[in-house]
Amino acid sequence: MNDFVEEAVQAAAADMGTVQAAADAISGAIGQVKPLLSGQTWTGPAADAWEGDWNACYSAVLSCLNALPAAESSVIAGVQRQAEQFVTQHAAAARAS
Amino acid sequence: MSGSDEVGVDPGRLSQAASALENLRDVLAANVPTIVSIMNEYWSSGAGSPISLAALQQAQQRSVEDAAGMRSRSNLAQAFMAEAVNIDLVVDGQAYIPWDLKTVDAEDAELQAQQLATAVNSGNRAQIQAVEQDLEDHQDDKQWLADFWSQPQAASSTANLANVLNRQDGKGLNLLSASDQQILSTYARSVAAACQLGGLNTQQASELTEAFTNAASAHPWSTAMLLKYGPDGSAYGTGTGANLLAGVTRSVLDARENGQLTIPINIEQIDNGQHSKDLDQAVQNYDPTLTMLELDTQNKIAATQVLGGPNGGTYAYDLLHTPWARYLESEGPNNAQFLQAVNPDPNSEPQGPDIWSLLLNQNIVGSFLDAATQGTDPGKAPPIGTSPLDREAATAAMNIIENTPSTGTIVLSNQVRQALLDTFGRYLPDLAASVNGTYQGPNGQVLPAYVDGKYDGPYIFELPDDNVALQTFLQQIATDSSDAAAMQAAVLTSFSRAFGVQMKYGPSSAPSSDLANDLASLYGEVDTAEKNLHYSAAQQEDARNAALNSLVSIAESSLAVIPSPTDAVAAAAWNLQGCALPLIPQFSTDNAANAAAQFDSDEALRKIMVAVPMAQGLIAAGIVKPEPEWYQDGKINLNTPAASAAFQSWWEAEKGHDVYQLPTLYSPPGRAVPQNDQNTQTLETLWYQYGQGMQLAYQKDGQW
Repeated sequence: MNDFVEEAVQAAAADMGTVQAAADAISGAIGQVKPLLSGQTWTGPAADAWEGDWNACYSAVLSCLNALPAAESSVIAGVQRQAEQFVTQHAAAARAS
Repeated sequence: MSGSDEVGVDPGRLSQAASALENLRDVLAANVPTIVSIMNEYWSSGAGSPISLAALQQAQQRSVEDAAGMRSRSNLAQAFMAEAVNIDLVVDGQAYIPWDLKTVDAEDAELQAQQLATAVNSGNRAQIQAVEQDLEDHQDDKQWLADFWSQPQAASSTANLANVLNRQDGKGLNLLSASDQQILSTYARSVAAACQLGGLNTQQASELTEAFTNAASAHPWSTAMLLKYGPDGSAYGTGTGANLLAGVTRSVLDARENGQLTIPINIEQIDNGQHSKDLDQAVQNYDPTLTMLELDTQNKIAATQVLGGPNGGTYAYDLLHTPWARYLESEGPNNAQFLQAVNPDPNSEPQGPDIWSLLLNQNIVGSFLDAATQGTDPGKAPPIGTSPLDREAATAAMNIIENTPSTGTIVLSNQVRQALLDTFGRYLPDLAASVNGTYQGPNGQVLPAYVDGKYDGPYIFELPDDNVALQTFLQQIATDSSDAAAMQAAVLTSFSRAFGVQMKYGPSSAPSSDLANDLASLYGEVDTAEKNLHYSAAQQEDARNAALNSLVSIAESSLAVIPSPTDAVAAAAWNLQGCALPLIPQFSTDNAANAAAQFDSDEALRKIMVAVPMAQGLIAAGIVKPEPEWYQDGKINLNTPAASAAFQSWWEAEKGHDVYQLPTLYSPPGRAVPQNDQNTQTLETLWYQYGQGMQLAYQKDGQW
């Protein structure tokens, strides 16, 4: 039954690895844009306003991406807890019968 | 350049920013759905603590406009630097451009159209692809598309694209490479989107249609290939897009007829020689006529516009009389030999051994003819409607019928004959009214149907009084005996319904003053068509048997849709179209084995051919009560000697009586009061009148 828990955790960890890779790709793409959005590229209030708006939007994106690792760990822990509960209940039911 | 939001930019860094934003757009599109989907799946199962992912989805949404907008700004910056007049303004390598997207888009769209024109003229493929990328980025941006496609050179440049691309990498029988097709696809999708999204105002829409129509006159093959690799014809929509397709098709058909089409197959690059099967296939594949007919069929409204609009009769004539293409080798650039399509009429110049011809794909031609007459109903048996499109559909039907070639000139393909049969079914009342010319109005026109002096019905056409066109049309369909039987079955079924309704509510004004009589005459015209085609007596009898079997096999519930009595006959006329062709079965050749087998002579069969639909109509209208000996499950039963004898016995007992005083009169309430002599005739008098119209009743020794 320990295999069942281990397999569930491994599957969740693999999925979270996929999520993190996607998040890293997005972070990398944002990182390529940011240095180009500056006074070296344009000068003028309209462009500055657009830049501010863009930065605000992507600041929220980065916050979200930064929060993902904890959320991923929480998912893996949650999956482990659910699997262990399932095993415990299953064993109890087997004993009762 | 001036303006409150004018911005000084470094064109090089701006271009890098545009590229980085395009990359970010693509990365977000590829990865945000993955993150959202996986995390939501776990969270919904109770694992882990959810966090908001809304910021990711919002960023993905805005990234499309960010990338497209920055690319447009970059384009403007590059153009600013390239303009010699701006040299004095350039300080520290900075360009000055507007920033707000509306202005940027308008200027960028104009710039792209100019650059496309330059690129097409010079064959600059990279620039053509750069503009393609801009079109792709703005595929859903209706204002940008309207700005681009309303530039005067946009349509003419795009229409010439396939010619340019073909010259660059067309080889042998592959006239357009996969890369060429991709480019054409993007441009055509952009045209379709501009037509559909509604960004073009009325004048711009009209100018775009005219520009493509004119461009297709100059470059018929290239324009058709542009559209060929674009979206399905239905993607162009019902308004501007349909007009555009129809305009291009007219230009292509004109060019075909005038021998002005060139398919740029370089004969010298083909190893197998001129008449190889591969060459035939390539010609069909790259034929601009077939391309446009197929797109118009998918669009449907465009097909109707072509055959129901200006010169629709000429186009119908050309497709029906010369359903092939003729080609001649012609010298092109660098002394290479290209295929030149010449006038398809085999009697026209040029002629000679160098000319070869190829039948146009008849599935495509047949489907096009069929689509053109459908009107607002997508099916094969509509009540034809009252919209302007329906008027064009009726005009298209009339043009097809009037330009159907005689069987002595050409026997049309099965596919085209099927389209004619469908048209016959859709316009059955019109054809019936045309036989005796009973509908008001001049001859040979499409007219609005008037009921009680008011326009209150579908458009109706009336063919010329001499019935030559009608007879030619019917003969083409009747070249297949099962189709002849199908026509007779349809007419007989419709006659039955019209007779029943007229007996209940009296005659009407539209579409004819005596629709039952006109349908009887139409039946007679089909009979004449069979005789003109030299059907044997056995063949004609078999067709009659098939029609009779079809009639008696139709349950009362299918036939007894009796409309309200306000103008019942007119309403029935439109309803007739609902019981026309779809009810026609495919007949075997031994139908005499069934109902008709009970009649031991041709004369007896002729009698029953008229009596049965009349009886069926009276029963369906609730005027007489049928007897169970010959009527079961809503059908007249003639399948046994006893049932057949019982029906004939009933008929003999009834026929001498006034139709308003029949012995088995069932439910007269609501029945119209007789207004004229016709309504007070005996059943037998009417039988003889209709029988004569059907060419089934003759006097013999003073007896009918």
